[in-house]
Amino acid sequence: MNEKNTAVQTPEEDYRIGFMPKVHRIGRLTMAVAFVLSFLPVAYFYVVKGYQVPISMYISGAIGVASIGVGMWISEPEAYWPVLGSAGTYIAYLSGNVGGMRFPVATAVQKNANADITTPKGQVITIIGIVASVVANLVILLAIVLAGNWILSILPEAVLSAFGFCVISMMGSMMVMNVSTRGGLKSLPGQLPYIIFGVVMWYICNKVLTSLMAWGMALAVGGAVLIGYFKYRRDLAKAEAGDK
Amino acid sequence: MEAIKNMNGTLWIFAIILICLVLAQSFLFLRLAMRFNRKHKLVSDEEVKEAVSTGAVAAIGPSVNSIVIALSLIAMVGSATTFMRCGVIGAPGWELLMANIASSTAGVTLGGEGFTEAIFTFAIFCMVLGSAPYFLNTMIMLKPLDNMVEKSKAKKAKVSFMPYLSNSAMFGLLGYSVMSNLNSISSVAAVLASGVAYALFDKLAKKLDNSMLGSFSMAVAMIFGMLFGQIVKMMTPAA
Repeated sequence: MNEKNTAVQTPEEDYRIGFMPKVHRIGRLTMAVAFVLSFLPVAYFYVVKGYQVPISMYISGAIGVASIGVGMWISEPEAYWPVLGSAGTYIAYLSGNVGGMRFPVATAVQKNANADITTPKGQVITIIGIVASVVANLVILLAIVLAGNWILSILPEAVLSAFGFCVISMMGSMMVMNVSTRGGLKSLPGQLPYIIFGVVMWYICNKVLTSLMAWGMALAVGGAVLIGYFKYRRDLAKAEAGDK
Repeated sequence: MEAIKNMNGTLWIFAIILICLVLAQSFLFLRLAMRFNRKHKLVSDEEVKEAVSTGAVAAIGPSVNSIVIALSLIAMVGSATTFMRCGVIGAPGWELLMANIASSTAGVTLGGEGFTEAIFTFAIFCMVLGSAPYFLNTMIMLKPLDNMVEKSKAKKAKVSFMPYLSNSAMFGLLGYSVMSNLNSISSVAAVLASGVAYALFDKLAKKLDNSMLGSFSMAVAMIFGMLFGQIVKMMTPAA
């Protein structure tokens, strides 16, 4: 035994007592600062420079934005959280591009390291992967902002249009990746109900009851987890019955 | 356009402050993870390298994909605002939508005639408001969620709920996400091609026992998906 580790021994204990509280301390603090800082330019131009339009316009703008955003504001982070973990979700919702970038990155690094997000190893590897994507994304974004027109002029149109398929292609590889890491093809029948539920929920929220659109992702994940919970209760009952 | 030109310089200062916050947050989490890892040796140096390359490579596709929308956003609200809004939560498409709500509320065109300093300020407000509530959500919700997980972990049941939670959430989310990006025959070709390419490349990496190669599986699959999607798109007559 290492003598330095007297207070906290196992990685799991340290994870629960030392690591996770720190994750939330960093996360909550940075998000609070971000909330204030992101409104700072508005406050500066409105108050200091006096660039003002009537408050009534602000109110109606806010209502317009909220009517589109509110469903997602309330439910979307919770839909990604089971994959990204808490630290990953804090980073993803400060840096953006959650669905098209952070979600695939988290899935891929967890698969490569063979670690689930609920384990200490999964948390560590996910943080490393997502942070790398944040830095890379900012560098590319800066290049686009400074030299975007030039980049557009040298890329052939077919190449640019092909990038339109990049997110759906990521989703395709993620599907195969997850099936192969979570028990392979023979486990697929067990996973199918979740996939089908997600697909059906998309159809309902985007084609039938479009007022539910903003809630769709959370409903898909929430419902799938509920199905998972019933399966768990069933298997648990089976395992306990097997004991007797 | 005058208004945007006048404010662009000042906005770059705010943009840099916000981007610094994003980097600072990433740095804090990274330091926490690395310290924890040094203590418990959960992740090997090799695995760290793989995770970094996976993360960096996966950022390229979506970043380039957003270039066209990002450029139209620059044309309408300037370079500083685009960098600020796309670097801190939000993707170009979402920001464009928010800016459009602002301009239609004000009854002017983005970056066009009558787009004054005051209306530009108002447009920035709408873009900020479009994502700021996410910050509040995570501040309030994530800790209780983690506590719930820890509680269910502590229960010493015969069967753990954790794999059920992660499987069901992952596949439910994937089913939904695939559908929301599936909008044409060519996108069907893309999703199938990338799935098959991933399976084959992953098999190859395993056979060669090269885990570094494995971390590029997704990038390779993406290239195949984009290639096949584009080929099918060029073959099908435009509707």
